[in-house]
Amino acid sequence: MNDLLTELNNIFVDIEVSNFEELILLITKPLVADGDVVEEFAEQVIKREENFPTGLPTEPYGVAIPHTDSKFVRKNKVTIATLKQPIEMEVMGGTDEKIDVSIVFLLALGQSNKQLNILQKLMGILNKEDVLTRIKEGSKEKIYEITKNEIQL
Amino acid sequence: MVKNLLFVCATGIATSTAVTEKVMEFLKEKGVTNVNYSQTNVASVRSNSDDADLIVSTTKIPYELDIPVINGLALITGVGEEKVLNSIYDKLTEGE
Repeated sequence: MNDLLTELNNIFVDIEVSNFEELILLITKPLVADGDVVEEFAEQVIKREENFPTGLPTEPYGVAIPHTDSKFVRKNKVTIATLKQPIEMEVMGGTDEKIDVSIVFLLALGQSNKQLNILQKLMGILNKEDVLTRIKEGSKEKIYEITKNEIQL
Repeated sequence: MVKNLLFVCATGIATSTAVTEKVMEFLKEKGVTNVNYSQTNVASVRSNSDDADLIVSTTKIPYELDIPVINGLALITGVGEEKVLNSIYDKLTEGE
Protein backbone atom coordinates (compact mmCIF):
# COMPACT_ATOMS: atom_id res chain seq x y z
CA MET A 1 0.00 0.00 0.00
CA ASN A 2 2.78 2.39 -0.90
CA ASP A 3 0.72 4.19 -3.46
CA LEU A 4 -1.81 5.90 -1.24
CA LEU A 5 -2.00 9.52 -2.29
CA THR A 6 -3.59 10.61 0.95
CA GLU A 7 -2.81 8.91 4.23
CA LEU A 8 -4.45 9.64 7.56
CA ASN A 9 -1.57 11.86 8.63
CA ASN A 10 -2.10 13.97 5.50
CA ILE A 11 -5.57 14.96 6.66
CA PHE A 12 -6.01 17.99 8.93
CA VAL A 13 -9.42 18.70 10.39
CA ASP A 14 -10.75 22.01 11.65
CA ILE A 15 -7.36 23.59 12.01
CA GLU A 16 -6.94 27.11 13.27
CA VAL A 17 -4.59 29.24 11.21
CA SER A 18 -4.65 32.93 10.48
CA ASN A 19 -3.04 32.95 7.03
CA PHE A 20 -1.83 30.87 4.12
CA GLU A 21 1.78 30.76 5.20
CA GLU A 22 0.92 29.42 8.62
CA LEU A 23 -1.36 26.86 7.02
CA ILE A 24 1.29 25.55 4.61
CA LEU A 25 4.02 25.37 7.24
CA LEU A 26 1.72 23.25 9.38
CA ILE A 27 0.31 20.85 6.83
CA THR A 28 3.60 20.16 5.02
CA LYS A 29 5.15 18.69 8.17
CA PRO A 30 4.14 15.07 7.48
CA LEU A 31 5.26 15.42 3.85
CA VAL A 32 8.72 16.52 4.92
CA ALA A 33 8.90 13.92 7.70
CA ASP A 34 7.94 11.12 5.31
CA GLY A 35 10.36 12.32 2.65
CA ASP A 36 7.61 12.95 0.12
CA VAL A 37 8.93 16.42 -0.62
CA VAL A 38 12.21 18.28 -0.27
CA GLU A 39 12.80 20.64 2.65
CA GLU A 40 12.05 23.81 0.72
CA PHE A 41 8.72 22.58 -0.61
CA ALA A 42 6.66 24.70 1.79
CA GLU A 43 8.62 27.83 0.97
CA GLN A 44 8.16 27.17 -2.76
CA VAL A 45 4.41 26.61 -2.42
CA ILE A 46 4.08 29.90 -0.54
CA LYS A 47 6.12 31.74 -3.15
CA ARG A 48 4.20 30.30 -6.05
CA GLU A 49 0.86 31.17 -4.52
CA GLU A 50 1.87 34.84 -4.50
CA ASN A 51 2.41 34.84 -8.25
CA PHE A 52 -0.12 32.21 -9.26
CA PRO A 53 -2.99 32.08 -6.80
CA THR A 54 -5.02 28.86 -6.56
CA GLY A 55 -8.26 29.86 -4.84
CA LEU A 56 -11.34 28.37 -6.48
CA PRO A 57 -14.77 29.98 -6.07
CA THR A 58 -16.67 26.78 -5.33
CA GLU A 59 -19.92 26.43 -3.39
CA PRO A 60 -20.79 26.23 -0.56
CA TYR A 61 -17.13 26.40 0.54
CA GLY A 62 -14.21 28.01 -1.23
CA VAL A 63 -11.40 25.61 -2.09
CA ALA A 64 -7.70 26.17 -2.79
CA ILE A 65 -5.34 23.80 -4.59
CA PRO A 66 -1.83 25.10 -3.79
CA HIS A 67 1.05 23.33 -5.50
CA THR A 68 4.48 23.98 -6.91
CA ASP A 69 6.99 22.75 -9.42
CA SER A 70 7.44 18.98 -9.60
CA LYS A 71 11.16 19.26 -8.92
CA PHE A 72 10.42 19.82 -5.23
CA VAL A 73 8.38 16.62 -5.00
CA ARG A 74 9.69 13.11 -4.50
CA LYS A 75 6.39 11.29 -4.21
CA ASN A 76 2.86 12.26 -5.23
CA LYS A 77 0.74 13.17 -2.21
CA VAL A 78 -2.47 15.04 -1.66
CA THR A 79 -2.84 16.75 1.71
CA ILE A 80 -6.33 17.79 2.77
CA ALA A 81 -7.11 20.46 5.34
CA THR A 82 -10.38 21.89 6.59
CA LEU A 83 -10.20 25.25 8.33
CA LYS A 84 -12.11 26.28 11.40
CA GLN A 85 -12.13 29.89 10.22
CA PRO A 86 -11.71 30.50 6.49
CA ILE A 87 -8.65 32.35 5.23
CA GLU A 88 -8.77 34.90 2.46
CA MET A 89 -7.08 33.84 -0.76
CA GLU A 90 -6.86 35.12 -4.31
CA VAL A 91 -8.77 33.39 -7.06
CA MET A 92 -6.87 31.46 -9.72
CA GLY A 93 -6.60 33.31 -13.00
CA GLY A 94 -5.29 36.58 -11.66
CA THR A 95 -8.44 38.64 -11.56
CA ASP A 96 -7.34 39.89 -8.12
CA GLU A 97 -10.65 38.67 -6.76
CA LYS A 98 -10.48 37.31 -3.22
CA ILE A 99 -12.51 34.50 -1.67
CA ASP A 100 -12.86 32.78 1.68
CA VAL A 101 -11.21 29.36 1.57
CA SER A 102 -12.31 26.64 3.98
CA ILE A 103 -11.01 23.49 2.28
CA VAL A 104 -7.45 23.08 1.03
CA PHE A 105 -6.07 20.35 -1.19
CA LEU A 106 -2.30 20.74 -1.14
CA LEU A 107 -0.95 18.94 -4.18
CA ALA A 108 2.53 17.51 -4.04
CA LEU A 109 2.81 16.39 -7.64
CA GLY A 110 5.87 14.97 -9.33
CA GLN A 111 6.26 14.50 -13.06
CA SER A 112 4.60 11.10 -12.80
CA ASN A 113 1.28 12.58 -11.75
CA LYS A 114 0.13 13.08 -15.32
CA GLN A 115 -0.85 9.46 -15.81
CA LEU A 116 -2.69 9.49 -12.51
CA ASN A 117 -4.69 12.58 -13.37
CA ILE A 118 -4.81 13.63 -9.77
CA LEU A 119 -6.15 17.08 -10.51
CA GLN A 120 -8.79 15.65 -12.82
CA LYS A 121 -10.01 13.42 -10.02
CA LEU A 122 -10.28 16.39 -7.71
CA MET A 123 -12.05 18.42 -10.36
CA GLY A 124 -14.73 15.77 -10.35
CA ILE A 125 -15.92 16.81 -6.89
CA LEU A 126 -15.35 20.56 -6.95
CA ASN A 127 -18.83 21.25 -8.25
CA LYS A 128 -20.49 18.74 -5.94
CA GLU A 129 -21.81 20.78 -3.05
CA ASP A 130 -22.75 17.74 -0.99
CA VAL A 131 -19.26 16.24 -1.20
CA LEU A 132 -17.59 19.54 -0.25
CA THR A 133 -20.00 19.88 2.65
CA ARG A 134 -19.26 16.36 3.89
CA ILE A 135 -15.53 17.07 3.69
CA LYS A 136 -15.89 20.36 5.54
CA GLU A 137 -17.97 18.77 8.28
CA GLY A 138 -16.24 15.40 8.32
CA SER A 139 -13.91 13.77 10.80
CA LYS A 140 -10.46 12.65 9.73
CA GLU A 141 -11.75 9.12 9.13
CA LYS A 142 -14.75 10.36 7.19
CA ILE A 143 -12.59 12.52 4.95
CA TYR A 144 -10.25 9.59 4.41
CA GLU A 145 -13.20 7.46 3.36
CA ILE A 146 -14.37 10.15 0.91
CA THR A 147 -10.91 10.47 -0.63
CA LYS A 148 -10.75 6.73 -1.23
CA ASN A 149 -14.31 6.02 -2.31
CA GLU A 150 -15.42 9.21 -4.01
CA ILE A 151 -12.31 10.98 -5.22
CA GLN A 152 -10.38 7.73 -5.69
CA LEU A 153 -7.10 9.16 -4.55
CA MET B 1 -9.41 25.66 -41.89
CA VAL B 2 -7.45 24.18 -39.04
CA LYS B 3 -7.48 26.28 -35.90
CA ASN B 4 -4.77 26.32 -33.28
CA LEU B 5 -5.73 26.33 -29.65
CA LEU B 6 -3.16 27.15 -27.00
CA PHE B 7 -3.64 26.12 -23.37
CA VAL B 8 -1.79 28.17 -20.81
CA CYS B 9 -1.26 27.58 -17.11
CA ALA B 10 1.22 28.78 -14.54
CA THR B 11 3.84 26.05 -14.72
CA GLY B 12 2.31 23.32 -16.81
CA ILE B 13 2.29 20.82 -13.98
CA ALA B 14 -1.27 20.60 -12.78
CA THR B 15 -3.99 22.46 -14.59
CA SER B 16 -3.10 22.51 -18.27
CA THR B 17 -3.43 18.81 -18.96
CA ALA B 18 -6.73 18.54 -17.14
CA VAL B 19 -8.18 21.56 -18.90
CA THR B 20 -6.88 20.46 -22.29
CA GLU B 21 -8.51 17.07 -22.02
CA LYS B 22 -11.82 18.53 -20.97
CA VAL B 23 -11.92 21.03 -23.84
CA MET B 24 -10.73 18.62 -26.52
CA GLU B 25 -13.25 16.02 -25.39
CA PHE B 26 -16.03 18.62 -25.62
CA LEU B 27 -14.96 19.76 -29.08
CA LYS B 28 -14.86 16.17 -30.28
CA GLU B 29 -18.40 15.62 -29.04
CA LYS B 30 -19.46 18.73 -30.88
CA GLY B 31 -17.90 17.37 -34.06
CA VAL B 32 -15.11 19.96 -34.18
CA THR B 33 -12.07 18.01 -35.30
CA ASN B 34 -10.06 20.59 -37.20
CA VAL B 35 -8.33 21.86 -34.10
CA ASN B 36 -4.70 21.47 -33.17
CA TYR B 37 -3.64 22.23 -29.65
CA SER B 38 -0.55 22.80 -27.62
CA GLN B 39 0.21 23.59 -24.00
CA THR B 40 2.60 26.09 -22.54
CA ASN B 41 3.42 27.82 -19.30
CA VAL B 42 2.71 31.48 -18.87
CA ALA B 43 6.35 32.50 -19.11
CA SER B 44 6.55 31.09 -22.64
CA VAL B 45 3.26 32.36 -24.04
CA ARG B 46 4.79 35.11 -26.11
CA SER B 47 7.20 32.81 -27.90
CA ASN B 48 4.68 30.00 -28.32
CA SER B 49 1.59 31.89 -29.40
CA ASP B 50 2.56 33.00 -32.92
CA ASP B 51 0.16 30.74 -34.78
CA ALA B 52 -2.48 30.41 -32.06
CA ASP B 53 -6.07 31.42 -32.90
CA LEU B 54 -7.35 31.21 -29.37
CA ILE B 55 -5.84 30.93 -25.89
CA VAL B 56 -7.50 29.23 -22.94
CA SER B 57 -5.69 30.21 -19.77
CA THR B 58 -6.07 29.42 -16.09
CA THR B 59 -3.62 32.10 -15.11
CA LYS B 60 -3.24 35.78 -15.78
CA ILE B 61 -1.26 36.61 -18.90
CA PRO B 62 0.69 39.68 -17.84
CA TYR B 63 0.75 41.45 -21.20
CA GLU B 64 -1.49 42.25 -24.14
CA LEU B 65 -1.79 39.76 -26.95
CA ASP B 66 -3.56 40.09 -30.30
CA ILE B 67 -5.08 36.65 -29.77
CA PRO B 68 -8.36 36.30 -27.88
CA VAL B 69 -7.96 34.80 -24.38
CA ILE B 70 -10.64 32.84 -22.59
CA ASN B 71 -10.40 32.35 -18.81
CA GLY B 72 -10.41 28.61 -18.10
CA LEU B 73 -11.08 28.81 -14.37
CA ALA B 74 -14.62 27.47 -14.73
CA LEU B 75 -13.21 24.34 -16.35
CA ILE B 76 -11.40 23.56 -13.10
CA THR B 77 -14.28 24.21 -10.73
CA GLY B 78 -17.03 22.98 -13.02
CA VAL B 79 -19.06 26.00 -11.98
CA GLY B 80 -20.25 27.75 -15.16
CA GLU B 81 -18.34 25.26 -17.25
CA GLU B 82 -20.89 24.93 -20.08
CA LYS B 83 -20.76 28.64 -20.75
CA VAL B 84 -16.98 28.65 -21.11
CA LEU B 85 -16.96 25.52 -23.28
CA ASN B 86 -19.57 27.07 -25.53
CA SER B 87 -17.64 30.29 -25.89
CA ILE B 88 -14.55 28.29 -26.88
CA TYR B 89 -16.70 26.49 -29.45
CA ASP B 90 -18.12 29.77 -30.74
CA LYS B 91 -14.69 31.36 -31.11
CA LEU B 92 -13.29 28.38 -32.97
CA THR B 93 -16.20 28.08 -35.37
CA GLU B 94 -16.55 31.81 -35.96
CA GLY B 95 -16.86 32.73 -39.63
CA GLU B 96 -17.31 29.17 -40.83
